[in-house]
Amino acid sequence: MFYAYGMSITLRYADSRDQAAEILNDAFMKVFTNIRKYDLKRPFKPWLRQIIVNTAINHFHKTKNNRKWEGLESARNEMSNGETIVSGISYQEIIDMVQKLTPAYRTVFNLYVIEGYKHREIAKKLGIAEGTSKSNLAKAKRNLQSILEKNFI
Amino acid sequence: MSDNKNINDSFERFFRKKADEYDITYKETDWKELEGRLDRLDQQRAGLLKRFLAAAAVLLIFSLLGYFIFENYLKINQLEEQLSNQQVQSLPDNSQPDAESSKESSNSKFGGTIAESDKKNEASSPSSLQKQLAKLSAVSESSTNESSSEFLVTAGETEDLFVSNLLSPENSLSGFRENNEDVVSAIEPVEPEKKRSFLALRTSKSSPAATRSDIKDSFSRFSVGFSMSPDFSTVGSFSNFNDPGFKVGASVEYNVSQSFGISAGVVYSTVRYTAGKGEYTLPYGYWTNGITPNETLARCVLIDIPINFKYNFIHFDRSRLYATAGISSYIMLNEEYSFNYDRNEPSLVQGWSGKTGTRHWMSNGSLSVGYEFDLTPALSIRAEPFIKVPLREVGWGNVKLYSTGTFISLNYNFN
Repeated sequence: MFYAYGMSITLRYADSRDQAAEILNDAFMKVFTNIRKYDLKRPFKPWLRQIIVNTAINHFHKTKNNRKWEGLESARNEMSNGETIVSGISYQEIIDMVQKLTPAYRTVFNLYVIEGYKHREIAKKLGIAEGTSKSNLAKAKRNLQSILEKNFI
Repeated sequence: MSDNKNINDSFERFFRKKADEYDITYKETDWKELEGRLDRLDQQRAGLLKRFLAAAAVLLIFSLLGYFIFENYLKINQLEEQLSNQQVQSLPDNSQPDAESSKESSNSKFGGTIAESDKKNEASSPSSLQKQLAKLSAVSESSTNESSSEFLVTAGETEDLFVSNLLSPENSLSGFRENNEDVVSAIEPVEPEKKRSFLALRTSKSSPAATRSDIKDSFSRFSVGFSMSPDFSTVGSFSNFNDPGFKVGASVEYNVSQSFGISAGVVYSTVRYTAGKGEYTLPYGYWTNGITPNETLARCVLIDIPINFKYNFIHFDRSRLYATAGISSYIMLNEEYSFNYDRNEPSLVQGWSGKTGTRHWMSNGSLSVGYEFDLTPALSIRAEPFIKVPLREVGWGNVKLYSTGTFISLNYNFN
């Protein structure tokens, strides 16, 4: 039950399903080792989500140096063959689209649009300027919009 | 602007909505990977705990050793003080009041054994005196008092009673003289007031105290031993023991005192263990395509060179309980490994063996307790359960080797 929930989060942050599984396992390891610190009075899912998102951000920091720029052209030409997600096609395609973004844009997009963080908080978490966070979000939306227009509209 | 904002809002709403509409298939391999990581974490914690317990056990043993050594040291000091005090007191003085007080003190020290029998035989004959002296020897031999000095004084005081009876007019020494040269020669030429000190000196040369001093000096300094033991070895943690191996060895021991000794030995060991994934580490790039074996079965032959400190903490009549702590160095002679993988592909490395000869100095610590029984004064047999814990990694696979077993050994004690 929490596996699917966790994967739904990490798939949005990762480049591929394997990487998403790796981030999720890292997050679960943290959950198991820190379970004593969990306050039983608080709901579990938000606590789990917090850990998963923080793990994804840590992964983003770790892979900063190995990152390559993925141009929109190459993103558009690739189709997701490695995914084994069997759900609504629309969800799979959403994930495909988000994964085609560069990690910097993808992470800001996820944190702002899905997690609901403000730009100031995002800037602090990612160690970037607030302005950079805003411009990354704008670029992410522009890229997603063009993918949507080209492939689905 | 507001249109843009609306578009952005609807765009964001769309993605937020879609993000919640997930339906993800569970993949077993994801869980297996996590399970492996959790198992490794458990093993690491168990290893830390065991290292902590081993360190605590070593600390406890050395603390106990220190405590017993200190206790003995205090006791010896106390007895030496008493000896010097008694020797000062044993200088010439009033005999009569001392004889009465010595009666009371000998009553308390010997539980009244001899004094009571002396009271019963007021007009003691030589034969009864012989019996009493024989009793005295028997009591002194079975006494747990380790110092001859205390006994010296007590015997001197007690013999004083015999002497006072002997010297009474109604007693005759003639029969007694024939059989008890020592006592008689001690008694005859001595003035009453000097008899105590003389008897004290004589008693030190007579059999009861001599037996005690003989016992004190009679522990052997050197001994050699031949030992054998089964060997149960494992890596990573004290669990998953496999087929037992075997140990056979010899040792030499030097006893600093009756309680404390140092030994060194050579033990030929065959070791068998099974190593899991994280416990067997080879240089990067050895494994085919980076696929590491799930399980490694090992059969090794090695020479163990232990150096141990031994402490005898309880002494019985013909046996003792002891504890040892020490360090072992391993020299690997022969190593043989076979590998089991998740998927059995012929291209993967199936095994490795070699005469490595690698030396791992002070690679393992050892702790044991044992029971030694003296078959004869020169020959003794020991049973010694032990554990060996790793301080460093050993062998071609760089494993942390834990071993346990029980040494049965035969020891020859040189006098």
